[in-house]
Parts: sequence; C-alpha cells; structure tokens
Amino acid sequence: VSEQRFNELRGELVVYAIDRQERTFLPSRERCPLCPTPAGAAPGSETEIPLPAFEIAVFDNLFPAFEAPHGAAEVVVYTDRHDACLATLAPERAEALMWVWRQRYEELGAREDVDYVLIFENRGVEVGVTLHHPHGQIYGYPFLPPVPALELAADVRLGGCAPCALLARELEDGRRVVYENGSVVVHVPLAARWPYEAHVVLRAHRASLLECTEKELRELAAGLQALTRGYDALFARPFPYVMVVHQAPTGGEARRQGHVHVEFYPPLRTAEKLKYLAGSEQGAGTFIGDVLPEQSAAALREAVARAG
Amino acid sequence: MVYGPLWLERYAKDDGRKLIVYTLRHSAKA
Repeated sequence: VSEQRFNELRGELVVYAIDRQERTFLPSRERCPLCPTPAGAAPGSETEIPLPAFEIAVFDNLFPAFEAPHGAAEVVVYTDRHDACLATLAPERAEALMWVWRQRYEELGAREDVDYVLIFENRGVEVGVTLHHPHGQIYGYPFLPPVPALELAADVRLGGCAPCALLARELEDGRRVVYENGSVVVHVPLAARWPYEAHVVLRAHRASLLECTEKELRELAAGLQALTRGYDALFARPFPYVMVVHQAPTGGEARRQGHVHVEFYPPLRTAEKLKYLAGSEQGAGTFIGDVLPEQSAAALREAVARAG
Repeated sequence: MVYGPLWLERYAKDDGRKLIVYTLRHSAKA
C-alpha cells in the first residue's frame, strides 16, 4: 500500500511505496520471473506467466507503486525471449505492442481512480532496471503528475497544441530531425535536457493512441524501433534509456487534451560516461548540457541510417 | 476477446492479480 504526501516547497506529490524495497533485484536468468514457465514445472515454481510460451503479457505488478482503488501498476512483457529488446522485436510484434498499449490506456483510463496513464520502459542498469527480460511498465496515476501538467501549460503558452507547434518548427529547421516515416518524426528537441534525448512524435494531432489509425500505430512502432536500433548502433553497445509515452490525461478537466509522443531520456553522454543529475539539475532545476542538440541529432541520424 | 489484431485471454493469478495474454490473431491457435 502506498502513501502520498504533498511536498510544499516543490508543490508536488511524493509517493511512498515501501513494500517495493523488497522487489526482485537482478535475478539470474534461471530465476527470471518474466520468462515463460516450462511445461511440467513443479507447482509453486511458476514464473509470473504460467504458460510455456506467449507473445505479449500484462499483469499487475507484484510490488505496486499504485493499486486500486487509488491507481494501477502493471508490467508489460514484450516477448517470451529473455534476450530480446524493443529494437530487435519482429516488426509485427512491435506493432502488436502498440495495440497492447492502446488497450491498456483505454481500460485503465476508463477507471474513476486513474487520471493519467503513463506507459514507460526503463532499459539498462544505468537507469535502475531490476529485471533484464524485455518489458515495460504502466502506471495509472490517481492524479495528474507534474510533467504532463507542464505540457498542458505549454499548450496554453503557445496558444494551441505545443507538440504540433514544436514539430512544425523542427521540420522547418531540419537540423535536429533524426528519422521520418509517413506517420511519425523522430527529433532531438531544440532544448534537449539529456545528451541524446529524442522524441518520437505523431505527425497528426492525436490525443491518445485511441485516435491513431492502424497505419499510424504500425509506423509509430517502426519509428520506435528505428530510434532504438540507432541508439544501440551509436556507441556499439546496448543503449540505456528511459522511454515514456505521453498522451492525454484520462481524468479531470484536461481529459482528451494531448498529443501522442514518446520521449527518450538516455543517461549516456559518451560510450562510457553517464550524465548525472547533480547540483544544478537537482538543486536549481537547470540542466547543463555537454552536447548541442544539433550535434547529437547528426550523430543519431547517422547511427539510425547505419542500423537500418 | 478480440482487440484490433490481437486476441486477449484474461486470467486471475493465485493471489488475485490479473494476467492478460495477447496473441496476434493470425498466429493464435484455433
């Protein structure tokens, strides 16, 4: 059971989920809880998915940060192959994942106790991954968190949909565009906070995945895979990142106000060096960058093209 | 249950948590 407290100085909620301290931490491959359960496994030795094979699975997190009737916490397992990753999934599996995200957004978003559905993936021990098996998570927040609230404020500041306006600027400039297909554009933001931050943005204004066409879902998956393959090619190593899907809130006054885009926050600034959030970032809230977005976009563009 | 190109199967785990298994319909067993 989690507890919320309001941090007055920051003006934000902090959630305490103290049971998570005991969660499974980097188990050996033989004890991976996200692998399928072998046929004939002894009772009690099943993994989280008690089937000998599966394509995609979603289940309630055993160590939830949120749970009904005050939100939700789910795990999304991308494949039953322990060594796969988003970048290496077959295209049809990646497309299927978009439909899973859409279904979970629809079901969780319909709940009275979920105001915001956040779909995300933490990849790599550098960002705190505790299980290596390819998976993401979904949090159903019982309130609107600060980051999506900031995006709604940007809409007001720019006098309309901020991602629409920013995408138009990026396409006109072109220097930070990394990849394009018919439905999505991948770009490094003008004022990226992380050295190799990138956003995958729907060209059309879609508040959520529910509004996306089949073609857009397919090409969103293609854009995500192109970027993640490029990330892995950039330094010729598995590239750690935090990936977050931004969509419209599902509760409150801002319901249905948003623009689907997927943000990646990779912590690497070189092949071996991490960007740490230190004094200025944590104490002042101002990121100090080591790489200009135009430089990182050029490097990523080349890596994406090379990775194919 | 059918959802777009997916077939959904819902289960309840022993401890009551939900489990949903998604299979592409063209690859699902009859």
